[in-house]
Amino acid sequence: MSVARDNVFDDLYDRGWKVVKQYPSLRGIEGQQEVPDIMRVPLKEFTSEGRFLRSDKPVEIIITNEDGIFFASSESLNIEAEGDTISESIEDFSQHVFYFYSYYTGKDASEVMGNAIRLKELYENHFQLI
Amino acid sequence: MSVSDVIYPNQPLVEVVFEIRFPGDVRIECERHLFWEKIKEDYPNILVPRPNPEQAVALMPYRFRSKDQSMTVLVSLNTFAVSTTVYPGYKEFSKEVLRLYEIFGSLYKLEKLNRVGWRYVNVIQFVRENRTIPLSNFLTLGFKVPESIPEEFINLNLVFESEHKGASVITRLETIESTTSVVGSKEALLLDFDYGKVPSDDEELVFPKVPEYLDMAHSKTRQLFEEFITEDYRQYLKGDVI
Repeated sequence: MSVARDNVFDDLYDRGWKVVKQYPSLRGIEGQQEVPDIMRVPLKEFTSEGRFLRSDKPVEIIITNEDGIFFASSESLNIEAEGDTISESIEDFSQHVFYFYSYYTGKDASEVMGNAIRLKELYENHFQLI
Repeated sequence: MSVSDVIYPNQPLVEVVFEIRFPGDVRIECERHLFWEKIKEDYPNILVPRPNPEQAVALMPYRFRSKDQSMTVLVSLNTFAVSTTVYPGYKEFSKEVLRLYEIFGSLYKLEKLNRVGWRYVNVIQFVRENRTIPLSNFLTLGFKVPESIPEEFINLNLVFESEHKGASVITRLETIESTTSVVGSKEALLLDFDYGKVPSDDEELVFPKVPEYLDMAHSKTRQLFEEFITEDYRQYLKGDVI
């Protein structure tokens, strides 16, 4: 914000202008609204090296911070990515999604078992390269 | 079941408030204990107003807070409000509001109201895409800006008040970030609807009609929220996720 901004407003107030105030309803909690410690964000598009992958349902990514490292994880996709910033953890997450998408959609049904069957179905049924 | 009754498993609501304001009555301030005695089993915690040089102490509400800290009843000589930070859905919340309203009304004889308000505060967490806010992933709100300004915003801080059939709604949309986070802040969009209805030449507001006003305030605000969000985001709120 410009350093001069407050002074500009002071001049306006001195000239008889005032801000039209709204009168909000009272709130039960004081102070600013905080962002929760654990973030849950939906993402439907993933990008890596110029390629785009889209899911038909939002992937819920849980973002946490431990000792200064951000972790972006999805239990459903069995992915845990990391980075020094949230953006980096999401980039890492996207790379994992691309890797597993290629891996599972490239496998024949007879080659997978257990949890891999679920993941193969998930990538085949819900993800699409765009 | 109408859309206004649906409770989203991933709802972004962080606080819901219903309030009424009325001509000041000193009995409410002098006999505040009468009300608290009737609710103290559920609201045992008392938070007294902090001195604020810009506001008269008598107009600042006492806060009676529930054991689990999620519900707060705010009372001053011209205000009665109920707030929750854990919204259980309209059916449950309105039931509790009306229970408290009945108690309040049985102790203090209120007739005309100056304002009815309903506040719906949402925190929508997001991660940036190419350093900008992926607004269209969440909200249908658009801006008409000159062509030279890309419609990809780094930050937002927008407040507008609009007229809605005898009521007004203050809508606030701004980016907020965690103050406790380390490198790379956690960010969110604050989407705050504040519905307010005041008396007009055609319609005065009266205490016995509070249940009707409550329904109306909730319906309008919920409708606005539903119209503000994208289908993709609604899908996430419904828990239809991978």
